Amino acid sequence: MDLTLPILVLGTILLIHLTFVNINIGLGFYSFILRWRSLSNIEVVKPARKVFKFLAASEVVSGVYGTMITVVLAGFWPTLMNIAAIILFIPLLISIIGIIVRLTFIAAYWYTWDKVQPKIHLVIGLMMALSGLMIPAGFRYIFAFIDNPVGLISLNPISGNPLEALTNPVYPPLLLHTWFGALSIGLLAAAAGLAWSSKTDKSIEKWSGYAGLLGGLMIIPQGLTGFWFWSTLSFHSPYLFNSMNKSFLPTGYTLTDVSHTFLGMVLLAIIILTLGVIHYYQPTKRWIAYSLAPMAIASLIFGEITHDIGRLPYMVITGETGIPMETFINRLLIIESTLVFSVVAVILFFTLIFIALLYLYLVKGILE
Amino acid sequence: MELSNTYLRGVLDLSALGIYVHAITIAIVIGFSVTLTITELLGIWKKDVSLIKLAKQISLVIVIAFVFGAATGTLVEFGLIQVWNGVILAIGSFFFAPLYLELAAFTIEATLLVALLYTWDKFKNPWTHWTITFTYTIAALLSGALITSVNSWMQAPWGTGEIVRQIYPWAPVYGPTLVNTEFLLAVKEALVNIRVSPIGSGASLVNPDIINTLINSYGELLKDPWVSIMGPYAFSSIRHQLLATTIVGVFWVGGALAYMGLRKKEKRSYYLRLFKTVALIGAILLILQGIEGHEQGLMVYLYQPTKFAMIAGLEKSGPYPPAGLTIFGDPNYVFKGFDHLIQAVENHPTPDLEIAGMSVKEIALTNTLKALEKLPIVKTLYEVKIGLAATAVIISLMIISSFVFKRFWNGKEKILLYSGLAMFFIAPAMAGLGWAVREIGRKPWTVYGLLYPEELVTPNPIGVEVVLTIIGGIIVGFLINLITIYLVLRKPPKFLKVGEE
Repeated sequence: MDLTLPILVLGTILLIHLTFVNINIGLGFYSFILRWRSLSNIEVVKPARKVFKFLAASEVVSGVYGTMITVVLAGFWPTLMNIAAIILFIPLLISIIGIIVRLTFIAAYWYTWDKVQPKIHLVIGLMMALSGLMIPAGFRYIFAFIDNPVGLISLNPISGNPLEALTNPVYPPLLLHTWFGALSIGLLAAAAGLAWSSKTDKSIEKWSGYAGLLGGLMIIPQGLTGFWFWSTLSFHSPYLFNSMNKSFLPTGYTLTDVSHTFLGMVLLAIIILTLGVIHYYQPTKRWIAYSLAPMAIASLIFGEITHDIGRLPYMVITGETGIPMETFINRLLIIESTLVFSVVAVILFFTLIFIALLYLYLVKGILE
Repeated sequence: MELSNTYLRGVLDLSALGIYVHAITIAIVIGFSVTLTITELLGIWKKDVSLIKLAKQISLVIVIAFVFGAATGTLVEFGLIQVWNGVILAIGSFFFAPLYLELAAFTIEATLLVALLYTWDKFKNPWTHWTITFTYTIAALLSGALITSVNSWMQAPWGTGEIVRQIYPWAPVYGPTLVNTEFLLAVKEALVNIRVSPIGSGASLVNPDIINTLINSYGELLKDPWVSIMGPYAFSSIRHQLLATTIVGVFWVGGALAYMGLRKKEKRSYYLRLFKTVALIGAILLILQGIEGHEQGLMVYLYQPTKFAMIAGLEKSGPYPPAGLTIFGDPNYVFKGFDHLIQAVENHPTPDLEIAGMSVKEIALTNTLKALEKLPIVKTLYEVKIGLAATAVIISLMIISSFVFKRFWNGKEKILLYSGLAMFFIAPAMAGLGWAVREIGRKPWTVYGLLYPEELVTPNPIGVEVVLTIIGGIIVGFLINLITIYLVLRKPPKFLKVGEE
């Protein structure tokens, strides 16, 4: 089977999923922060509730797309999925626990609002926010594994050491980089949403600015962990490192050049940091907040393209080279491109309707 | 190193638990959707505010069940991929088309569910909203149909032609040969080999080296991606499962209304009217299911000889009047029992044929005897199910009669409400037992006549932590689901304008 179509399908679904997941994680924390501030300032309850509503809605989209990724991976890349399911058994289990805990605390946080003491509600909120970090804590092992397959002993039959897989050196910086990125994106999405709401309610303006500042400042730890990730790749996933730096550094062997998306991501991060701080001091300039959210998403997309396209033509990097994508592609049957396109078109069409509905519900408020 | 039976039993039970809990939310999503569509239609048509209010409440419950259904579905999905990861081979081939299409159905379902919830009373023409509800229900049913087709292929592997028959002489022909026989037999050979090796699990064979070598040697595994959807067993199963699921959902709504009618004397006539409307839908569907049940039984007779013998309790060949009468018009028709199946194996036409050094005759005999071991449990489950179905039919006839003989039922409404309450439990019990018969009845195989559980289970040990995670997750999810439904029904969102109960 031609590789382009499966890559496009997986890429599209993965990017939509990651966008909503990251927004979701960040919103969880901002809702908690605002709830905490509301203990001393009752006015903050309103934005805290709004942010939480936004979170609940984005959770649905990210959940639906998460399910899709599993089917797409198992359908288009079955042997890779099987390797991950066997070697990364423990991380996947962590993610499953994370999903259960997350949903439980979202429900608990929603229901106990104004029904328990504020401090107890705050603790539930903290658990809700922290549980959001647990899901990528498991799934990021997959990305670390395909950068550097620690724990894999043999491909035929598939055998490995699931405990050794947990010691992947690529994982810690990747996870921290992901967490800070998620916080940044979610906070900046909150900044945009609250800026829109502030057109009718000026009291919310300040909290849009606050979200912009926090989201912007998150770029600093994200950049530092990003640097750590980048340097780790130079030791443990040199092929990807070479792809990322092809235009800037005298690198070794690579067939792919993603240095421009990598640079774009870094430049966007600098702009986000600057605009985030400006928005805090000038929250009345709503256009800044409106531009911060798409820039954060664009930065995420550039980052993922750098990470995933940078591995091409390999799916799993093994030092200076890797295991080609064709090795894992599903050739068990001839998959008709019409079927693939039709389903993707339907998914995208209805996702757009879904997002439009969320927009009407959350931003315009006409459905309330 | 063969995996121990106790270990496999535990893993199978764990999977069954996950599927059953997931099925509860599915019953709500599918069954309530049909109820919602009909209730809203009647409400608009008759301009009946109480029916519209009921429809709004049903839509609210569906949303909650859908969210938790998606969560438990994810759990089941991961369970499948992590615990039974040998199935990935089938996901990449036989199940690809239905599962991939299901993604579209799932997205349509999620989107239209949100749309129908938030657009109540927003359109000038109420039929616009009903169109959204109707389309949503079609998507929900389509989703259910596609998943059922996957299960159906495991029950009757359509498109494998005479492959199963080469091993089991009593087996039927599963349609035209749309699968690459050499490829499939090579996989089977490797799986049998690895079962007696130190690795034990066949799941580790679904790797790029083996799969690509087989593809390079024999070509694609599957010639027709639609094979799992197109078989007659799948068609019948889809109708049967969707009807069963819908009946459960409908009677859950009916049961809840009956309970309210019994509890709130002052509002009894209000709840009775709603209950009768919903219960009539359930009663009609139940009678349709009776007709469809015959068709499903016929499919089992044709495509799963061991399961049919289990259900009919035919350790030895003999008559089974219900099937004899409905299939052949002769209650004394003699059906083939396990004695005949074993005899067929003993007279195997190709006893020298071997898979991984084992003669097919030996394989066939061992597994036919393993199937025979399940006869007592399957027969008992089936008989209890039929007993409950008979009770359900009587209740359904009572419900229908209340529309015809109105005077007779005057003053006896409480009987109707109590019977509705009984159906709240009978309907899921019937469906649950039916599913148990379906699943246990296909043992010892996971894919009938082809693959065993031990060939598909993960090579990783399933420890206490995994068991606790899955059971804990299922219980927590289920409880939250019920609590949320209760809370939301007690205090519905203001935009629905249904007031508080």
